[in-house]
Amino acid sequence: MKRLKVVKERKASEKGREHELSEDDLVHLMRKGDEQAFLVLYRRHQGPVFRFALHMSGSRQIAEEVTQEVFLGLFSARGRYDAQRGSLQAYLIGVARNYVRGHQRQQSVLAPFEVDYLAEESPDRADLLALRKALLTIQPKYREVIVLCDLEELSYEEAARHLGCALGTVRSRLHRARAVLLRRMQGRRESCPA
Amino acid sequence: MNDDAGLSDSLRRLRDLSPQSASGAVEEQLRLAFRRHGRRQSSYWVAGIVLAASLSWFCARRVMQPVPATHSFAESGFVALPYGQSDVPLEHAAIVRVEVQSASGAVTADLLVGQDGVARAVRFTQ
Repeated sequence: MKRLKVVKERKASEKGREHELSEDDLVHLMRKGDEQAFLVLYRRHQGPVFRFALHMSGSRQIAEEVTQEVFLGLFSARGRYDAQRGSLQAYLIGVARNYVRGHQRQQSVLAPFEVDYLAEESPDRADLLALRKALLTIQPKYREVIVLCDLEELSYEEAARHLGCALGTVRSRLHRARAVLLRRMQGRRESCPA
Repeated sequence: MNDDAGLSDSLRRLRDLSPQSASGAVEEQLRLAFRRHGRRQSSYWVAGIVLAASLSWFCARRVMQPVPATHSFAESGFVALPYGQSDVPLEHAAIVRVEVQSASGAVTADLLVGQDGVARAVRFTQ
């Protein structure tokens, strides 16, 4: 069975068809030095990792740094991904959480969050920027459930797996996070009426 | 954005207007880092093989016993090998103990190896 798997990996790798392989096979090939396998994994998962870091940090630059660190860790000795313990995406988001927290600890001392990446002009841009700022001011444990459930549209079960917490915890945090966000946005509207 | 539904709409708008993926530069840097990592791993393997070979050679040398070349073969029970002739005079030699499989079982023998690596004589110990 193992031999069959190795032959399948080799054939797919030789034909440049890594995208047909399962996640585990790709990780196996990547650890053996297959660059294409690594790139397939990167292209498959960089979006969710980048967006998570972006919405958690409010900075495109930090999000790109975090994305780079996460994938550097995946192929280097620091990467301790074990398929038995969960999906690769949950592992990568877990690593990204740690890096974002590290950046936030530094950032809180150095500079405020930047929210300049909403490039597109739109009539509700001011509202969206305000929402973005409000999101960045709530506690990270509440922000991450908003990011995963509302922005990434993961199910509660998936979010719980990504965050390594109970389903009920995700539900209660999301409820509280949304209530806080709404209150802040309503407060803003009252303080600066149109 | 006065209610829960309004908040959901705004969050969706925020998501849609935000960048969706990291720039191509990130992928390029990771690709280069992956190649560097691969080269480093290969060099670790080469270093490991060289180290293992050096250790084997060192251990083999310890097993070999240098023999003064002035000894005659016959005195120490050695029999000259018919194909052990070498153009290089025997100045330094070493005895290497080997085990030879024969029809009647394993036979232990000492090989007299010259400084040029050519086995000159053999002595059966069992």
